Amino acid sequence: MRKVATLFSIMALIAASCVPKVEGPAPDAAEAAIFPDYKAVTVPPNIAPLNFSLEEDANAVAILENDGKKLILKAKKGEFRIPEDNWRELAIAGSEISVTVGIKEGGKYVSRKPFQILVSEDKIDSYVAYRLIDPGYETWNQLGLYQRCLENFTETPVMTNEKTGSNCMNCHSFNGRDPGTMMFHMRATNGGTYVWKDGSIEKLNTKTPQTISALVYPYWHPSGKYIAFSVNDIAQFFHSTNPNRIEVYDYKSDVVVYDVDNHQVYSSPMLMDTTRMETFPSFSPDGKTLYFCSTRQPDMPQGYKDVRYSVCSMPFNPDTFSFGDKVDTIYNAVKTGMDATFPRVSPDGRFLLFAETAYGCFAIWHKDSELRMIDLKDGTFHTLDEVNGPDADSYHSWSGNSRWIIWASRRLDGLYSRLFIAHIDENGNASKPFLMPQKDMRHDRMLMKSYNVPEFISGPVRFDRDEMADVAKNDPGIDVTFK
Amino acid sequence: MIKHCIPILCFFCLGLIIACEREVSSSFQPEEIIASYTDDGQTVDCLKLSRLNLALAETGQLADKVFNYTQVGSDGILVPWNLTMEAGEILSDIYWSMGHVAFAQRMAFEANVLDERDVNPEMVKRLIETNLVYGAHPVAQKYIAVLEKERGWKKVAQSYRRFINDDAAIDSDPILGPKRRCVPESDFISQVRGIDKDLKDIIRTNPKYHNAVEYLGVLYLLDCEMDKFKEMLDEFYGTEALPELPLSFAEAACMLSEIDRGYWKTMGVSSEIFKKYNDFKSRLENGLTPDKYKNTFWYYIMRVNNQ
Repeated sequence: MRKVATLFSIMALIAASCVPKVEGPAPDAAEAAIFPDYKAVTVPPNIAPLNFSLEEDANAVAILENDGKKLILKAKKGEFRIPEDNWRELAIAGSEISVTVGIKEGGKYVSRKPFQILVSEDKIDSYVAYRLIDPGYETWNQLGLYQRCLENFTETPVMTNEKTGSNCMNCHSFNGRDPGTMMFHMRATNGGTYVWKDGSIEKLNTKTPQTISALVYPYWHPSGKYIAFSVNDIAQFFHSTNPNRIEVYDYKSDVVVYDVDNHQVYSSPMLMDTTRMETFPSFSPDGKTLYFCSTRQPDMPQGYKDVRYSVCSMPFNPDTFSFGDKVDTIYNAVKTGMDATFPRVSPDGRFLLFAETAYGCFAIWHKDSELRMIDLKDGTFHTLDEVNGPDADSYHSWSGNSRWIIWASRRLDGLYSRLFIAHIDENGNASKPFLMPQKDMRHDRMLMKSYNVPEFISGPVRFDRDEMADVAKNDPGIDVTFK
Repeated sequence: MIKHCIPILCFFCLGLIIACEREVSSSFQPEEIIASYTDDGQTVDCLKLSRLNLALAETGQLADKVFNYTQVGSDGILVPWNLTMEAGEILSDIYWSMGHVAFAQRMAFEANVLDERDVNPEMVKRLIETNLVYGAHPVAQKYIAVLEKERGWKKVAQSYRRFINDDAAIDSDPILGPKRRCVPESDFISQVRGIDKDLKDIIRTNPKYHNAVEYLGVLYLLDCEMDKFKEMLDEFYGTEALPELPLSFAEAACMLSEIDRGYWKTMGVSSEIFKKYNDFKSRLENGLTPDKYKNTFWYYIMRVNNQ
């Protein structure tokens, strides 16, 4: 009975009353030019349909087949939109979907070379949170934090600035992908750090006399009791000729850890070394190691090209809120001559993922920025050639099962970041990445905003935006002190 | 009644469709701006004055005629960046006219972001142009696609498609080619060291692009930076960048002869201009009004000194 229903739904998808016959493919058949490039990609079984469009103006059909199920779609204005129900039946975990595109030539459909979509057995977290922002220079207008269900195409705002005086908001961070424990900053109007935890909102004033700035780049401790932050004196300038356009740099920076319950920050002399700049902290999944980036302090801004961050680690004791006295270097920028930012350890503790570029702290504006990975078990360095593109690949996050990464890449047009997803197997092998699917295939080419700081979450964030706006506007905030 | 309404309705709709499809022409008409500019010698709107000076630059008259109008210093030629869309728009136009592609692009981006509409077509057009100049074809292509969707801009947008992935076409285009030749080969940090340093790099890179040297000299004159102005003349006069002095520069060279006797001659200033300068001085010394010289740099600097 189910088969009959499926067949019926398949048939119903075809605009014409008959199933078009597709001839071929000939042995030398050309590949179909499609966007996004979903050929030979590996996708999670719970991902939204991989809608795609033809890059040529043609009357076409696409036949998707898997495990005896067959879906025939007729292109509408060159686009193939896959109904969600049919996609679910095709996207069987641990299988392959075969896709054949037929182009109408001389009254018949001629097959292009078929391609496969590999469906992994590994599921992906159901949501991703990100900021949508103009990839610009100094100003902003409408911006906000959004969340997208990866299992369908639903995008909803987490917080947008129309309720908070058109201010800037950034650095959203979740405790281990938990949508119920998060923080982000608002800048300028209603400035402060906002922590959403245990169903309540807290506004924090985080500049202390002992720290060089308000709290900046965050990472939650897995216990939820602490958040590591950098404090940074940040500036930017504009290039005249360089394709990187903008240089964002620090005059100085340190790393501190914030005690969520006691509203105190604490640090170590090794994280506030005046001869060095420390930034981009993160914790290991067991919470016992603090990772951060560190470089010697050059004269800025003229020394901006000499800034090369190493990835370091030091013990952290969450029970006593104290740091160890030994710093290890995981990635040595002096030896590599390159620069590493945003170290992120996979939840299983095996791999350390980071962005590598020639210099500096803001990889998103560096066209040479690529993702790299170190196997913490044996020190193997993975260049991740499979996932890196011709333009900036930067901010990245791990799925809860450590099998998927999502990151912002500028490979489509060289400026507007889009989200790409790749599978990483238990040995660190990466698959060909795929562009986060969209309902409308023109979306990623037409949207005049960048996707920024993608973070996997296990479900939607549910705080009340009006309540958050009310806190932002009317709550004086709690003054954070330095311990 | 209904039968009569249908043709009227159709005619009305057709009119609407025709109106919607009408293509824009450039909103910047320099001759019109110059002709309609009102100068009462008292109140000066820096935004309007910057637009007038831009119109003079775009018609090749900036350094000749800048002092035909009441000027208020460099804010009247390079309006201060106050994080508004209006300032961003005019600054993008001014930097584009100067040949400062990096800042023309930056300001176009800022103005587009600040526009309450989803898209500011004029600024997206500038983003297409600047990205083509830089050879950033994929993002130029994106902006073309975005502009094509804007009512009335389709043809303008499509006119840029021929440049995609065709650098030779960009090089030979009368607008994009000269701007591309203004992009300095070596990178510098824009404006951290001052706009004058940026302009000097542009002049050295493309000495044939005279708007850059005219803007540079006029900026110095409006801010009464005579030492820097003289340095500029010493470097560029007699070169391809500045084969002869435009009127305001010649007037300033006469003044520089007060400390460097005969300087005006070495700068090729005509004796007629130098004679006028002496007449201007003698009128001042004799308590006579020099109003007949109110369109000169000398009068401007006198007014600045009296303020």
